[in-house]
Amino acid sequence: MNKPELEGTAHLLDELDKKLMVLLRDGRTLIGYLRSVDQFANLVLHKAIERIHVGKEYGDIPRGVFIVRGENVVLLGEIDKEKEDNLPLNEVSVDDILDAQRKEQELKQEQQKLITKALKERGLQLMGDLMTHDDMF
Amino acid sequence: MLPLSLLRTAQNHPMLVELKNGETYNGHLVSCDNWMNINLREVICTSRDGDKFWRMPECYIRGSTIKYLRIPDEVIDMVKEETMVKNRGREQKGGRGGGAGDRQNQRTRPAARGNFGRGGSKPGPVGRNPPFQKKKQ
Amino acid sequence: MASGGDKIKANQIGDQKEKKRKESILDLSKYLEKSIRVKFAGGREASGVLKGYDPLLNLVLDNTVEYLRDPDDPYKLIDDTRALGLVVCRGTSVVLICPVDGMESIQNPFISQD
Repeated sequence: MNKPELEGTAHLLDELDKKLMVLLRDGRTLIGYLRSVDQFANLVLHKAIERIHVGKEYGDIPRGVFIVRGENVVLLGEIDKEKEDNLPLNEVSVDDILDAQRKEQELKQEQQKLITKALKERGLQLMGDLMTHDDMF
Repeated sequence: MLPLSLLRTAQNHPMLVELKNGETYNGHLVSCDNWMNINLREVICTSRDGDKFWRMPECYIRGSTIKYLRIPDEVIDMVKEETMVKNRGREQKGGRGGGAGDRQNQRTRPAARGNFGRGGSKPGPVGRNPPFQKKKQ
Repeated sequence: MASGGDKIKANQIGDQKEKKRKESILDLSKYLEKSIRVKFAGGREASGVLKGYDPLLNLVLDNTVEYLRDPDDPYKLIDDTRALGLVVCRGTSVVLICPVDGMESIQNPFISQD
């Protein structure tokens, strides 16, 4: 059972065909059935949805089959089917949640702009995490 | 069925590739390798914010920059059928190939399909009926 | 003895096939002397005439133009460009390659949007 080439990710094999939630490095949440794993922890998610949370509301977007590159995964968790049905959250329509998400993002961007501006005025520059290893010019 | 063999099976199918930088690429998979490097044809590139679009006849993407790939549902069914046929063959021979046997079968598959890396020259609809739709966030 | 030698030969042919399979899926020779667009890790983008390359994806581009980016967002292009002339691109930082010929900016092709 424990194939040597899967060492390290072998425990992921126990999760095969279970319903998992996958949190990506970009903050997105995917939920689907884990169909396959390799030595890099690349995943195949079947019947996947993307779940968007805003406050106490969430919405699900059907997404189908994913091949996720393992290095982009932050965490994997099994979905408890019994507890799944009584979440302390309200499900809303896809349009509503996308709307709420957009508003939330706009608010965050506004705040970030203010912070950057305030820092610049004080002679400090906050580089986004994307820029730390790459200069512009 | 390893994630990368699923990807090989998805050759000549439409797919959506999202890069770590947030750009998405919709196109048909022409070829892929063990590093997840891919060639796409009839590609539509969408900027990270979903506000700019480019059409490209073909493109090569380095595997290490991929966040995830979304493939059509039917591809996973194709793999299921293939592995079932393979398993039946193995039972009849009485062999228990295990992992190594699996890998060999996967290796022969692209050649057997006869179109590895050759899809780019095929004419087809351009820029219409994208396989996956991206919603504005 | 002879059959043993044949076996070795057969194995060598097998190895060669194996190597062939490992060959790059990207044939850059088709882009030689043609304009290509290259995207780099970190967000830079450039295009130029492909003069040379190696298997590690190091590229030699001539008449290269870099597409400049929004100072506040390294992944957002602005309309400005700057000429770089003859350059060597480090293969390890190449993210994407596509031909300039046939590449065009288009309107949103996804009807679902809006």
